[in-house]
Parts: sequence; C-alpha cells; structure tokens
Amino acid sequence: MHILERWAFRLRALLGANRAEREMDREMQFHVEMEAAQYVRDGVAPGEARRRALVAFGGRQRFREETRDEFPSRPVEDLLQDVRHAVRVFRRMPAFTTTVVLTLALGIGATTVIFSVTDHVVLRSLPYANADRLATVEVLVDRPDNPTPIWPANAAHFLAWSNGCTVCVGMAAIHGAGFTLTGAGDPTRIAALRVSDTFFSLLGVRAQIGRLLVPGDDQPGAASRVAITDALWRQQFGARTDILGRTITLNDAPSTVVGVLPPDFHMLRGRELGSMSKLPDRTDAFVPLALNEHQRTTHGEYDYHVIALLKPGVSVPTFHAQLDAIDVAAAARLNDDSPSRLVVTSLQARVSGAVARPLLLLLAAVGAMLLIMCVNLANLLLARSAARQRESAVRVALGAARGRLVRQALTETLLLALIGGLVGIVLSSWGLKALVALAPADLPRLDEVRLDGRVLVVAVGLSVLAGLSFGLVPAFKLGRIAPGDVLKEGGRAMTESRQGTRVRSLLIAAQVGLSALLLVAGGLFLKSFMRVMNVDKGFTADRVLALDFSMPVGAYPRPESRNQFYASALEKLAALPGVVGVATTSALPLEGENWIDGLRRDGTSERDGDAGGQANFRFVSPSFFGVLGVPIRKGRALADTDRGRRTIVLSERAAQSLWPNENPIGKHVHAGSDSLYEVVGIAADVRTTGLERAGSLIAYMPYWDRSLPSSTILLRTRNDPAAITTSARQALRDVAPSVPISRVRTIAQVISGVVAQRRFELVLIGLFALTALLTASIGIYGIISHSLGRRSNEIGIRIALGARALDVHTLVLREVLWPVALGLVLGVGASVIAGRAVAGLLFEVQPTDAGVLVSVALVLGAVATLACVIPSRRATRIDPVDALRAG
Amino acid sequence: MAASSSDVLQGTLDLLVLKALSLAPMHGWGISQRIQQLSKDALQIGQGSLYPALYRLEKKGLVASEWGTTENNREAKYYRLSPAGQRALAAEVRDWRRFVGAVDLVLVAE
Repeated sequence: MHILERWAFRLRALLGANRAEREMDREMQFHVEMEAAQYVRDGVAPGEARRRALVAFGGRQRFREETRDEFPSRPVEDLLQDVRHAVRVFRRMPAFTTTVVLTLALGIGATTVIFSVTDHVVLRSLPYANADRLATVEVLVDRPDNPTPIWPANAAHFLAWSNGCTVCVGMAAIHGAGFTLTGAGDPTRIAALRVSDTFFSLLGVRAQIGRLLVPGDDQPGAASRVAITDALWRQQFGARTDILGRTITLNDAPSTVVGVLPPDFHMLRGRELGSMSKLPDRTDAFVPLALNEHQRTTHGEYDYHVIALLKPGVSVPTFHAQLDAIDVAAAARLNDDSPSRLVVTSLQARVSGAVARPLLLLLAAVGAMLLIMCVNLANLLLARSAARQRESAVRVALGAARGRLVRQALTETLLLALIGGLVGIVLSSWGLKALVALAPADLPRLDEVRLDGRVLVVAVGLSVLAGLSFGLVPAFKLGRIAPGDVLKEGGRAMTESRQGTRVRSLLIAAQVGLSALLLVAGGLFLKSFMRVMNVDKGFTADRVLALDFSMPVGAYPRPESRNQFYASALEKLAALPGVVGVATTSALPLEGENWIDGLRRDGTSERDGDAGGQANFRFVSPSFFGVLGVPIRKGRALADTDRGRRTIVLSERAAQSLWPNENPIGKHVHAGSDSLYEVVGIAADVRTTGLERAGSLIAYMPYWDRSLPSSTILLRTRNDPAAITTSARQALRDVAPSVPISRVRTIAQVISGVVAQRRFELVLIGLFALTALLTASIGIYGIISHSLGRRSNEIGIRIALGARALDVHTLVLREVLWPVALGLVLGVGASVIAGRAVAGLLFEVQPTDAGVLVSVALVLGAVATLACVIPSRRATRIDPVDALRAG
Repeated sequence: MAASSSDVLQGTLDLLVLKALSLAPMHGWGISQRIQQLSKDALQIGQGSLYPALYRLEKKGLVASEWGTTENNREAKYYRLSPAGQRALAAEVRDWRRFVGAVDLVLVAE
C-alpha cells in the first residue's frame, strides 16, 4: 500500500477506534458469558461460574492492550499519545519549553528571512519562460580614466551583432525614454522603454489582452504602437478592455494601444542591468525601438541594453566567441577607433551577480548562528534527559519498550522544533518587512521577495532538521538506559563520567568555534565599513541640501533666459534664513558618471593617443567649491568675472593626465570638440562612483557656458539641511512657478545611499555575530552551571578537605580552557580559510587582519571566562555539609 | 497433558484458527471450543492469544467479521475465512506437514 493510503487507512481506523473498542468490549463480554454458561452446565453455581469465567479470561486490561496492538490505528494512537504526553511535559516545564521555542523561533525566523531574500534574489530563475537561455551583451571601455568600464552597447553594435548571430534565436535592444501621456485624464509623466519588436517573444511573455509588439512593429515609419503594463492599464484606463485599438497621445504623437502585459510581468529595473544604465526603476509602457538612420550608423550613445536568447544547448562562451568575431569585422568596416571588448553574461548572473556573494555569505552566517543555537539546545536537552533518567529508568523497569521511549523523546523534541519553527515563521514575516526596509534600494528583485510556499517548506524542513539535530543523541541515550544502575545510583552520580566530560568539551568547542567565525566576519565588515566612511571623499561639507530642478524648455527657450533663472534662484535662496551658501552643479559627487567627454591638450590633435583622457563635465556656479567644501589645490575657483571668457577648473587627476608634473595653471585645453579653455584652477579629486574607487577625471565649467535646463541647486545650511526643504521649495516657486523640483535629498542621504549595501551587510552580520556570542555565552554558562550542579558533592568534598575559592575557580577554568582554546583555534583558522571567499567584499582590510583576529580571540576568551566564573563563584559557596548530606 | 496457550507457537495458532474457520464461520468462543474439542482437549487456546490473533488475521485480510445472532438469540461477532485466508490456510498446512515430516525424520534417526 502506498504510504499515504496506509496512513489514511489508519486515520479512518482511528476515527472508528471508539466503535472498535466498544465492539471489543462486547465481544469480550460475550466470551465470558459463554464460558460462565459452560460452567453452569457443568453444575457450578451461577455467581461462582461467572467468577471462574473471568479468571479463565485473564487480565482484561492486558487483553485490551494486546488486542489494541492489532488495531490498524495503533501508530496514530501512539503518536497522539506521545503528543499528549509531550504537551503535559511542556506544561510542567514552562521555562524549559519557552527557552527552546524562543531560541528556535529566533534561529529559524532569521534563517527564513535571509533564505527568502537569497532565494528570490539569487537562487530563483528570473520570471521569464526562457530565463536560463537569456544573456546580456555589454561593452568594456577599459581605460584608466574610466571608473565604470562596463557600458551598455550602442545601436550600431547591436545591429551588427543581431544580424550576424547564428547561435542565438534573436537579440533585442532596450532603450529608456520618458514620455508624457495626454488624452487620458491629467497629463502624466510615464516611464516607457523603447524595445526591439522581438523583445517579448525572446523573454517568452504573452499579452494579457490583445497582443504585444511583434516583428514589423519597429520598422521606421510604421504606425506607432504601444503595449502597456497591467498597472498603467488599471490606474489610467480603469482596466477597460476597450483600450485595445485606442489611440493615446505620447509626447504629442498618437500611438495605438495593441495590448496589455500580464499582471505578474516583471520588467528588469535599470540598476539591475548595470550602473551605467539609464533605464527607469518602473516601466509603464513599451514602444517599438524604430532606430532611425542616424542611430543605425553612428557610434554615439552607449545607451542600448542588449539581450539575447541563445538557441538551446548553446553556451554563453560559444555565443561570446561568435560576437567577438562579428565585432572585429564590424569595427574594421565602421572604422571604429575605440577597440572595445564585449562582456557577455547570462541575464541571471547579470541581475544577481553583485549581490550573490554577500547574500550567500549572510545565509552562511545565519546558518552558523542557527547551528550554535542547536548546539545550545542539544546541551539543554542532554542536561534535561540526565535529570529525567530516573523517570525513564522506572518506565523501562515497568516494561516500556525502549523503541517506544526513544520515539516518545523524539516526538517531544520534534514537537518543540515544529512549534519553534512555526513561531519563527510568524516572526520572519515581520523580519522580512524590516529587512526589505533596511535593504539598499538597488538590491535586485527586492520587490519579488515574499514568504511563499517554497520558503515555508524550507522553514518547516529546517525546523525538523534542527529538532533531529539536537534531539537524536539524547533520545538514543534514553534507549540505552540501564534501569538497574540508574535506580541504584539514585539518579545522581558522585562524580561525572569521562564521556559526559568529553561531550561537554565538544559542545563548548563547537560554540566557541562557530562564534569566532561569525565574530571575525562581523569584525572584518565593521572595519571595512569604517575605512569606507573615512575615505577622502574630496569634499567636506556635511550639511547640504540638494534640489533637482528642470526648466520646461518651452518656457525657457534661450540660454539667456535660463541663465537669468539660475542667477535669480541662487540669489533668492541665498537670502533664506539658515542658509550659509548656495551653489549649482549639474551633477552631485557619488551619484555616478555624467556627461563624459574628451579633454585634450592644446596643440595636439584628436589622433594623438596620449593627448588627454575622458572626463566628467560638471557645470557649476563659482560658489560650488566653497559650498560643497571641495579644496582648490592650485590657482583659483571659477569666478563671476569669467563671463565672456572660456575658463575651466580641472580635478587633480585630470590635470595630471594632461600635463604630468607641470603647472597647468594658465595652460589651455580642448574640452570636448569645443574650442580652447584656459585652466584657472585645480580642485581636489572628488569621488564620483562611490566611496570605494577613485573618481573620474572631472572638468568644471561655469553653468552659463551651457545653460542646462536641468541641474541641481546646493544649499549649505547652518543646521539640519532637511529642515529647510519647505522654505527652499517655496522660494524657488516664487522665482519661477513653472519650474518643477523633481528630487530633494541631503548630501548625508547621498553618502548613506552609497554605503547602503555595506551597511546592510554589516548590520545583519553584526546582528548574527552578537546573537551567536550571546547564545554561546549562555550555552557555556549553562553547561558549566549544570556540570557544577551535578558535582556539588565532589566540590563539597574538596572544600571540606581544604580547597579554597581560587582552587575551585582554577579547577573549573582549567576544564573550560581547553575546549575554549580549541574552539578559538578552529574558528579563527576556519575564518582565515573562509576569508578568501569574503576578501572581495572587504575594503582595504585583509581577511587575516591581525587586529580583528586578536580582538575576537580576546572578546571570546573574556566572555567564556565570565560565563564560567559566575557559576563557579556559586560553587565556592557550597556548604560541604549540605552537599555531602544531599548526596 | 494440556498445552497452555503460551506453548502454542504463534504461527501454529494462526493455522489452527484458520483451519477452525474453514469448517464454518463462528464466533471467538466457538473457535476456542472447536479447537479444544478437535484436539480432544489437548490444545486450549487462551483468550489472551485468540483475540489478538483474530484481529491480526483480520488486518491481514485473511478473515472477515460481522455481527450476527447465536441460536440463543445473543449478539456475537462471527468470523469467516476470506478467499485470501483459504489460500493462506492451504499454504500453511503444506508448510506444517513439511515441518512435521522433517522433525519426524530427525526423531526416527537412530
């Protein structure tokens, strides 16, 4: 019979068990009556006959027991009986039960949270039918002055690849675009992507209603079509099915809605595709890419994300090799002067690549923490089973089967583990919310993370595994119990067995070792974090508010009017109370690369290889350097008196790359393709792409040189910069009501965002390490207290014979010293080996950092000593007379 | 000399019960009486063994049971042999004969 059927049969039998018992009683009754009637026929008096019949029948209870053994429902009944017994035991020992359940709930809860994040972000396939065959293609623009070397492709590359590729089913390009939607309520800014018409068929996505883009849609000149997301459909169009075929207006041009994407469609967010991505975080609509002639042939914008669907059985390296060959030929044909190498990555790895390692590390850390908890619980259960030895011995003596005892003990621990696991799952649903709130915004696929069936199965499985891990040994010890010995000893040995000492030492060593591993990891991350926070950012201001604005080009068509807005906005804001300084810049430090163009020494031509480098261009007000605290190393900052002249300030590294070891002040430089600019000053290098890498080369030009319609205003404040947000917005509205403020943040938030992932890792690892330390110290404390409690007799004798308090401490410490030292050596050794795996996650800290290793050893040693000294102090106060009498 | 119930090997008890039931369906007490009578009082089946054996055989599907009335109009649980029980009985009888024959061969050896 199939195992499920068998248990179903047993359960049915259990439900009918009462009837079966009644029938059994009736049958027994009938038997006794027939027997009595026989005696009566033989001439025995009826009363005596009945008595004899009963005697002949034997013990009714035994009959019932033995017959019941043959009931099909027996195993279920045993289980229920064990569970009932376990519940009674738990009620009798609330402190023990609560400890176990809470410890497990914490461990399982934390593990479940980390697992669900890791699972969704790293382990699970992307939610596309063809996820395992999708790859991304990017280009490596590898120059020393280029802090973010991996760029999206340009359109000409994409066309060359997709025309030549024979090992892929097809390739698609994605290009970000902002659109204003009109004709459906208020004009709305929506985020749309321009995609190749093959995009959806490559992903394997089908429309919810209508159709998606199909081949032919992105021919230049074809009627404009648009596929919209479920969210946009519901918000803007009330989920009406007559949306199909309707014409909507995007950027003043009509587009026909051809279909709606399914509600569970998940579009990759820009940052999931790389740091140079300009794709938005949220996508509302997809329109055909429709490359025009200019885009098809020039090697301009590196702004196209390329996705390929490989043919079944084709590996990423094979695909890569073919693209390389195509690229070499194309470069020759197109006269491409910037030889680039291709970066081909499976889409899955591209999305989760950067965070896979930290998350797996976190999973390992939380696993280690859970393991320490299990070791602790194993010890607790061992102690308790020792205390219950007498009870078990009596049961064995009274005829309980050993198998039954073992099963009973296992049922108890498994039940505890399951209760702990369930409480843990409840805790984890809260923990997950907290974690998602704490997680850096660029953690990929974060919106997909939730507790689902797969995660729950793992959580319950983990609980059972945990229950077995700390329940098996005590249970089998029960099975081997020798009732005679136990009952003779009166449940209390005079001294401890050698085996007991060894088990205790192993448990201590395991806890210390695992804690050491976690503490070392935590220490390394902490030190890295502190190093990152202390790097020279290149600017010193910390109380600065940044406001992004964009002038509508229609209202400010000419550079003069835009410059007028800049001047009056800066003037108006400077007058705000609490504002110390005002400046404008086209890009903030730490917010990535922006406006990359070439710098070339005066007197060189574009064909000279070493004439300069690629720099980020920033358009700033003269006050910028003072407001943000960017030191001027040489010369002067830009000045209002520079109007009408072409002046430029370079960063130190930019100057160095143009004129190594020469004074650049007064020299001239070609900026972009423009005419010559005079270098008036050298500013400190500012970090652009994060705190951990040297920044890009930077060229600062006055804002009036370009008069950009969109830029950022910086307000340096006396007090909390965020407090000034409202009055700053109001002041800008007074200057120009039509200029919207798109984004406000403080420089502290910018820094905080850059280190978000590091902080996330540090907080979690630190939390796990501290929990582990606490658990381990409680564990050591428990083990020592328990062992000293059992040995109070022996210690009593020692004290009676003249041992002093110090002698007792020494006795205890000597016993703990070895396992602690062993655990430390193993733990620190393991962390040095495992350190290689985390080395890439550290910043200017070696995994073998002596400071961290020594501190961990000292902290653990101190905590372990403390955990011993408390119980051993109690032991020194033992009154020898009491101790001996109690024995 | 009467063999006590514990002397009846468990396999043998199953064989005896199956054999008794192959003669006619009957209730538990009837089975014990019939075996006692057939063995001329040599075998007495204790209730402590009989009923567990009956439940076990029922669980294996070798016997089936239903409630019926006796000649004295008393309610009793009647057991009868199932087709599987008949096959099992034939097999067990064969095994028993072979066993007895083998033991005999040993015992007649001089």
